[in-house]
Amino acid sequence: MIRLAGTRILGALAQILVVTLLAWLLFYVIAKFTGASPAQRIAGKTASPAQIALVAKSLGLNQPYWKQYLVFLGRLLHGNFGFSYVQSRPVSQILWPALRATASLVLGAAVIWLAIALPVGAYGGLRPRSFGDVAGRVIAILGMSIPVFWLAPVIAYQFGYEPTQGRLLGLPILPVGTQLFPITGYVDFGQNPAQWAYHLFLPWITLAVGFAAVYIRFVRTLTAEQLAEDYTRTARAKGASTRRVLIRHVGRNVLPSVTVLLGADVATALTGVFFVETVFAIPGIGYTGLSAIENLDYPVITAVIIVAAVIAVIANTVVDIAHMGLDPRIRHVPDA
Amino acid sequence: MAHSSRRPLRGPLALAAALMALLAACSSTSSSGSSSATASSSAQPGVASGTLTGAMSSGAIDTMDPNRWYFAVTWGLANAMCTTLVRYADQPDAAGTQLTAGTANMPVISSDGLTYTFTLRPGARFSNGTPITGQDIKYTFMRLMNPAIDTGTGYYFTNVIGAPASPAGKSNTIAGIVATTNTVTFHLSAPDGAFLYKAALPTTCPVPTGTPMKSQESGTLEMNYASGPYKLQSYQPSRQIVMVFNKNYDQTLGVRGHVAKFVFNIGIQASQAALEIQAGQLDFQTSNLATADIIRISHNAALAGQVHQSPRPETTYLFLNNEVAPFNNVDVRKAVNYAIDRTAIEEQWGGPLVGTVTSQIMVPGALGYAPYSAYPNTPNLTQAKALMTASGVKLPINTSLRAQNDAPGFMNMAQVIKSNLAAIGINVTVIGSPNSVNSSFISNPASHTPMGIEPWSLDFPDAEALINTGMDPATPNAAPNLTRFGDAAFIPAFNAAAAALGAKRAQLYETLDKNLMTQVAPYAPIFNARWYDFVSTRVGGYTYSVAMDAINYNTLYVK
Repeated sequence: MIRLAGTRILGALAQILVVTLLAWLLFYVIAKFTGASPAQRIAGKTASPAQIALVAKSLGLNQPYWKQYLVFLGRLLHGNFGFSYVQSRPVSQILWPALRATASLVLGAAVIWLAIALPVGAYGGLRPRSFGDVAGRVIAILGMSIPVFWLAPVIAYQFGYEPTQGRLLGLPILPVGTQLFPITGYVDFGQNPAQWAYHLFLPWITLAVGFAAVYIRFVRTLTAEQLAEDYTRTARAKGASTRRVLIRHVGRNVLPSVTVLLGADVATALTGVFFVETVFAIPGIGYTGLSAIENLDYPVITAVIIVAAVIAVIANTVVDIAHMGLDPRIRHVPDA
Repeated sequence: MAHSSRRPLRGPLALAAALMALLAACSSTSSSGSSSATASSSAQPGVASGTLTGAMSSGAIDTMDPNRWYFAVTWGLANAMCTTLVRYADQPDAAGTQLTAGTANMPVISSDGLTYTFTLRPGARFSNGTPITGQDIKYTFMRLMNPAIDTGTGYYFTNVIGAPASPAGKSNTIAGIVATTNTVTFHLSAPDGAFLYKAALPTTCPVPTGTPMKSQESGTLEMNYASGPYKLQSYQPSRQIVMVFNKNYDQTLGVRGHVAKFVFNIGIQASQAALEIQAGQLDFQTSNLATADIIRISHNAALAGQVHQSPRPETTYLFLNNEVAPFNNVDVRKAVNYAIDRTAIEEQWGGPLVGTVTSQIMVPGALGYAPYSAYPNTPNLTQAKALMTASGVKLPINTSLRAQNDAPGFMNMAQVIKSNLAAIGINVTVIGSPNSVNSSFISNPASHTPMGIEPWSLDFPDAEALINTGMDPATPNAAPNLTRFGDAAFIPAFNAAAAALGAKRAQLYETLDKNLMTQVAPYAPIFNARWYDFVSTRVGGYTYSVAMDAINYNTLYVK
């Protein structure tokens, strides 16, 4: 187990190195290809070519690419992502608060989607074709079909704006001026935990809908498969209750697969929630990346790409190691 | 069985119940909502009360260094936190383009137009209480021209004697700026009819002598050295700006500032902000209202009192690269001007509600503007085809058009132009890219971009800010000269207009505008945009500053 985990961690480190290089190179290749100059952006629209050249020099952009990369790598090894061209402060000061905001969004949403999907999916597997199962599947199909870029403004509108006009889901049942939820905004957990949850509730729901739909179907299928296995029939024959069968037997076989999926999805969500962040004005990593692209803030863009890649690699590694812990079949793979 | 299957639901149900209770508790104390401000029915001179909350889009703040800011939103803030030597009157529309005394009285100008002497006013001081001196003003101008600081406005002061030597590192002072404790004198190498406008640029915001020649982005300068009716209280990049009333601002410099606190939440999209204003969760936004919202809100009679519109000092045009075939041929450029359907193009932007079609260079409200129509609003294909024949170019021509694709309207406008030009044998490939990429690309003369759609806002309400800055024939490779216009025959007319004063200046620019469009047609103007603001019912004293292209915070009060 330890050897397998060690190999996996070494592999992950190699992946991070390669991804870092590729991410850095990719952006510079794109920048070169499009001819988009951050120096021009910073120097201003009336700047002369000499002034633009001066800005480029001060940013080190006049250096050969290989030299710029070496400088970049050297800084990176010291945890220094460089200096934002636009905000004129260390990229790390921009990145970490953004990462905290995104983690707040994604982890909160993950709790919600699991809280919905595990019972609904398990019920569907336990009672296939029952009313509850059919309803759960219909909801799951709807959840998977609705794109988040549509859902986010609709939820903000229905639960943020409409109540202020005295309506909830189109029904005039609230007093005009009811402030049910804020349409946008974010409050740090450390600043005010209640406001943090209040401001994130609609974004959590928005993000959770699509994932919950996938997980309902996933958990339902796995549960149904496990319930059809001989060992569950044996457990039932020995008089185990449904609850005990679900938790002690089915659950132990379903959870490793759910964990693997969760790890991958949380990693994906951490780096791909810019729609939700943009609509609800959450200053997360996606929002930061998008804003950096709008401003051609190369160091921030590069840092966001690298952090996203590192999160994906770390999440997958953690999931693999956790999977080894949860599933004896994996950790007992003979050395080969 | 039935019971056991429901048990797992207890967790989520309990969580949901707890969350709902939490939400109910929170709903009365939302931090996003407008604050419960002290109400007042009108602005009281020297009295500031209440809080107004505004939304700002991401990327609206380019810098927090007063000598560097350039974006319209930061100019709006500058107008509140800075008092320049002379400043714009806090009035709506054209009256807001008139200059008035700022930290200094209106200057004494020598008869040859080469010397401007400003005497500082007794109440001119920074927000920490320190008086602003003539030396501070001189230092400010040296700083804004320093290459480590300059965002491009240093260009406007190259006619101050000794100015070019300072940024070039050949001198550590500017001989043409002479300062005493309460006066500052500028000696110019040539008359400059727009010098006072330039002295009112937000980048001339005074900073104390000794401020580092390195960009100051923490907001410290606006906190301690603000010179307007407001100062910065806090700045969280990409999150929030809080601006409060500056108690050290001397109201004898002008009665301005009636709100105790402004909170700007950064990163809110224009459409979401409009919803929040309508919902009473927000008071205003710093961006122009999105076209879809303009249409939606303008048709709602109940909101009429909350919508304000003004002409912007801006023109959107199709630039034609005068150095690249086929647009190096004047007949082709004129043919394009005859062939494009300006009305249809503007429809893609939002129609007459959001702009006025134009075929001239100058924009309404700026000195040097006299309306005329050089080309039709709808295509005159007969004329256009005749010009194409006269041009002698071989048809069909394949070329490309660049436009930004991350803001609504531009790509749609490009498609209309493509269709229009196909009718005269010009096949256009439309290339879209985000504004950051597009603007950098087309500004680079080495890109040889044949044509593109670009909006241009004036830095000050004078023809020079559009004609000289945007198409100076003496500098065809300057970044803003997207047409690469370099017709040397026009250089004397450009120089004469820039040096002239008053009525003569206006007349020279009017003539130049007409001559450019009718004789050489360096580009194809399309429309002049309008500015729309949508504010909450709590906002009183609304004024749009034409000069800053932003809300004038100095006149607002909380109802």
